Amino acid sequence: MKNLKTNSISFLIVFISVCLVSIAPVHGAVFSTSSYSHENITPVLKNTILIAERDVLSFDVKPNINSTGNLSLIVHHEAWIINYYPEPKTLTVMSSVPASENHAIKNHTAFGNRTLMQQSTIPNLFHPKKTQVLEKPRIIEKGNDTQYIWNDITIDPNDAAIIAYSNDYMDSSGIYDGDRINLPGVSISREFNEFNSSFVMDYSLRNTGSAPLNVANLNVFFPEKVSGVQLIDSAEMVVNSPCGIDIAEKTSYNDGTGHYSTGHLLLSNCPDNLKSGEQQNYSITISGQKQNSGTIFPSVITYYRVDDDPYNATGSMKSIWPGVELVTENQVNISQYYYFEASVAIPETKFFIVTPDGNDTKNDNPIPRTATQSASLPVIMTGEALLFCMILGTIYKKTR
Amino acid sequence: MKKILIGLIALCLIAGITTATPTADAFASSPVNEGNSIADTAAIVSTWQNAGYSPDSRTTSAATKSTILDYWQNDPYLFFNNNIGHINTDTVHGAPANGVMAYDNEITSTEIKYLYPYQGLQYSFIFMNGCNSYQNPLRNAFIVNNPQMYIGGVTLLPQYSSEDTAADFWDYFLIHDQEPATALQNAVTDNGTNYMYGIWMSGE
Repeated sequence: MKNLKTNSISFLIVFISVCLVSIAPVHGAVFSTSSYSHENITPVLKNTILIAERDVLSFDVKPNINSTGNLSLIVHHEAWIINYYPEPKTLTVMSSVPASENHAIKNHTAFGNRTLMQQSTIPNLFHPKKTQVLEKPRIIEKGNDTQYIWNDITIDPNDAAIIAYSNDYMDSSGIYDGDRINLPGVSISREFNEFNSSFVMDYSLRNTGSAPLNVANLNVFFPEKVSGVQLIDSAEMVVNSPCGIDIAEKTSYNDGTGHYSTGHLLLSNCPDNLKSGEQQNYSITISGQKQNSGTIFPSVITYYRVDDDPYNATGSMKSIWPGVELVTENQVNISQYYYFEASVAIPETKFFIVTPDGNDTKNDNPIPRTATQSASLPVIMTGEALLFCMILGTIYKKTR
Repeated sequence: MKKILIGLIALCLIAGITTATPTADAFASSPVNEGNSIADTAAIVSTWQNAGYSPDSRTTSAATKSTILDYWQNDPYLFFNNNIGHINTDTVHGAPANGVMAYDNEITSTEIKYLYPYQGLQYSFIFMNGCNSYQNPLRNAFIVNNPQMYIGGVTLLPQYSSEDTAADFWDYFLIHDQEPATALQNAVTDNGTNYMYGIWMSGE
């Protein structure tokens, strides 16, 4: 009996080990988290008020057949005011909107939480203990100038008050210029050609500013199935570019009309800085069989970042939007941090007209319907756990 | 001996419950409390329930890497996936997209790509609401698991309106019975997020 007990205990230990191993259901290696990196070293911040600002140039497009008239560039301005003094500080924050940029007609002006963009570098660099996003300010109009004022904000040590708002930056009349698309610090030129059954789009992205562009890249969507009609069948996209290229097939995305179409999406990866005056070239060829008549409006997406002097070491930091100003009763030291990034989608004004070579029109491909599935009863034990319990029960009966 | 065995049986039962394979037919996660992420995750769960499904959800500290991967890998009934959160990209906001940030750690694209078994993601509909989540290698890591649909961010996303887009998508898709691309078109139009999402469909 003693021997049976010894064997049983050994048996149980082995099974508990099996059971414990089965608790870890995930396979694969564990990697450390490293979401963000930055070449510039964060300075030691003590006895200072840091104004850390970020401008994101984004966009709004209202779908339309001629959607280019409905493109607006929007600036999302965020300012983190972080108190690195050992005592609370009370201050007033002012932000001036340039008269030439204050396009009240489009009315993309908004304040507070709803204007924040994802993935700001600022909290990961400066780690404020608590944050408070300030909502609508007092607004003062002086002639064509507008000033936003947040009065008497008290910030505790190592905490941050966040000023955030969006504003119209530029409408489409300032963006499209013949064969060029102009954005702050960037010009995109393009030329479309058609050879037999091939559609060729040559794009160049040039740095027209004085500061280098970090990770500038250009993405292009070419629709082949528009409004449910297959215009080009068995299409293939080939791209010639010095940048890293990823071609997403079977992708539906907003084409140049603003509506979702299906085709190929070129996603590029250019890790090197694009210096002032330099350009990236992309030659994109789409080949396939013309199937039905229609018009193809591509769309373009560009991303770039300017962050070469975020702590204003040169004293000539470039910004696309005026920074905030602080008013305090007592004099305080002020430190600065700033970067600007653009993430902009642009409907193309250029287009291809597709005319089938032959009369081989096919019916539309039906969009597959989603299957339905009924919910099943929950399983509260795994099979191996149940087996283990049955064996234990048997041993328990034998030892009684 | 009798007491030891009774204790072990109890331990085994607890372990059995702890290690139970997830069986929800829809799973929503939101590792970050940012913008409307928590409220929209709750709205998505509610939409799934209204459509007749039995969802699970995990937010903030409960949305750990092991929990999320457990659903993606082991849940044989999983049909709908939604995640609102951050994507780890080499260049902060651009390509490549290396993984999905859970609360405690990163779920790398390599781990997603080599899930075995991959019965949670297989045949499922996936909405990864995060900046640049349509970039590779993340997009392909999900697609090799043979889902029916994958939606990801193509640009930087605004906090509130992108999260609201995800909630509205599921409503249009499941409550209004629209095809996925149509549901996404309506959701982005409602929230001013046109041109911010790509959608991949296995049937295209």
